[in-house]
Amino acid sequence: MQTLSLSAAESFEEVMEQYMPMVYRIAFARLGDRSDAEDVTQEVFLRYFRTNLNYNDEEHRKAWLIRCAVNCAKNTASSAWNRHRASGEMLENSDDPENEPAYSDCEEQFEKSERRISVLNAVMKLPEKYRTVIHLFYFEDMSVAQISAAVGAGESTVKSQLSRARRLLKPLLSEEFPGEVVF
Amino acid sequence: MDFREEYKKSMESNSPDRETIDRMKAAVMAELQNSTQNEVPEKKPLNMRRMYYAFGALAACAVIAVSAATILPNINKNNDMISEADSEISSAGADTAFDIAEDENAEVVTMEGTQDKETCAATEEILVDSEDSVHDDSAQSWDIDNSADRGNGDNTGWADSIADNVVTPDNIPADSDTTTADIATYEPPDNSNGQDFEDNTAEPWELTSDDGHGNPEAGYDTAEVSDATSDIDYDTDDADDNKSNPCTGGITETLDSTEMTEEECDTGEAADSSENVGRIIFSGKGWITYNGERYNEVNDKNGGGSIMTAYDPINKTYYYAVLNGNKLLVYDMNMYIIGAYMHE
Repeated sequence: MQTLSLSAAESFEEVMEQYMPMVYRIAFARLGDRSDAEDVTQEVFLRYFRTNLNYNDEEHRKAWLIRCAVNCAKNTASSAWNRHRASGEMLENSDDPENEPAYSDCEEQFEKSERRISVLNAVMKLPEKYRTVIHLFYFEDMSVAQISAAVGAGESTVKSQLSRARRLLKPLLSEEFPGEVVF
Repeated sequence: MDFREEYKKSMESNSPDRETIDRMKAAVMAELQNSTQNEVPEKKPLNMRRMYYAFGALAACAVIAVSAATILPNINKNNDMISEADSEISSAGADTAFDIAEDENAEVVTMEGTQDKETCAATEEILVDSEDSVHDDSAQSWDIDNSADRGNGDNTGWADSIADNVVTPDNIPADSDTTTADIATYEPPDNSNGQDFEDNTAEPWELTSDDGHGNPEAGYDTAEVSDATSDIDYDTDDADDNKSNPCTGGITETLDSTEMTEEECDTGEAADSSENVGRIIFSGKGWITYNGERYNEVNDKNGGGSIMTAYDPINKTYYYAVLNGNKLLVYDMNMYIIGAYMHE
């Protein structure tokens, strides 16, 4: 176990400051729960500090954090507690602004931007593995190859998951947004 | 609708705020500080593991020590047995001629167990009388091969293999004027050269010469011994032929030993029982030596043959040795078989 020196702590805080929102969003996209996303984010940065790898560049560091966030979120989703939680219950709670803090925070913006909430709700109705690839592809602007490296799956698998996710999203979004949806 | 833009905006709106980020950072730093402080308690499993290794090593050493203490004595014992057997074999090899002579002496004495002391006493006189004439006895044709005391001591097998021309008490040719019921008074008509062999007895030590090799005179003297016993088997038919007579040495060389013969005759059967034994040595490795010959152990314990007494000088034990050709069966004194061996 390495000790936390002053310089290391400063650099570690810089890394957390830079990448913590990204890790949090990946975890939230996968888990759909803020507290779980916070736990996963903390776990990712603890691992980051403990492994103490030498990264070639910032892209390497970013790729490691993304992959670690995906794996930690997957582990949390497959934990005993989350397995016993019905996914329908999570979605139902996410639909209720009263019970879901994330959406309660967005409640003010909901009136201003109803479309954003509708998009998020539609994505949260997708299976977990599809939500991850959708987030990495559309929010992090990662290529299929980068996503396959991050989630540990083949590129064809990522492509098929993206295709199925779009196919599922289309009817959900068309209800809220009449007209053509451009992916 | 552009899904990418809408999704980015929605996720940005759900990004952690400043307060959430600071809370997570503080939690991570606190966790790291706790983990650094908890280093010492985490070493406990390592210490236990080291203890397990140490105890395991000690246990392994103990097992090895016990095994060594158990096995080494047996190994040393086996080595001692092997070295003793080797020494016995070497000594037996060095004294082979002498041993054979001793054995043959013993056998001859056994064969002549019916011989009385007068016969022994007369032996010296006969030998003294024959001292001057023995060198002229080249014409004698004693059949050594069929002689009663040729040294193998196997009277039963030997008696079965007697040729027709061999003179025995029961097989004396009818036309022979030397055939009498009293064999002790028999005098060879042609090859005696005037010597009186009728009281001669076998001189077992004469079977060997001073150099330890077989004494060519053996046939000469032992044939005379046969005169005094009922086991005469010299060939009277061949008495006049020109067979090479091995009796070319001086019988006088054996005069000193004649005195020993008298002593042995005095001791009677005790001498017979103590000397008419073979020497057997168990190597403990599946082979034995019997009278200096090596025999390897075999599984086939069936068979018969001539029974002889064998003595193990190492274990100081007597055995019965049944020799049939190259096969040797060894029994204990209760006639329980010890093992079967084949001559190497």
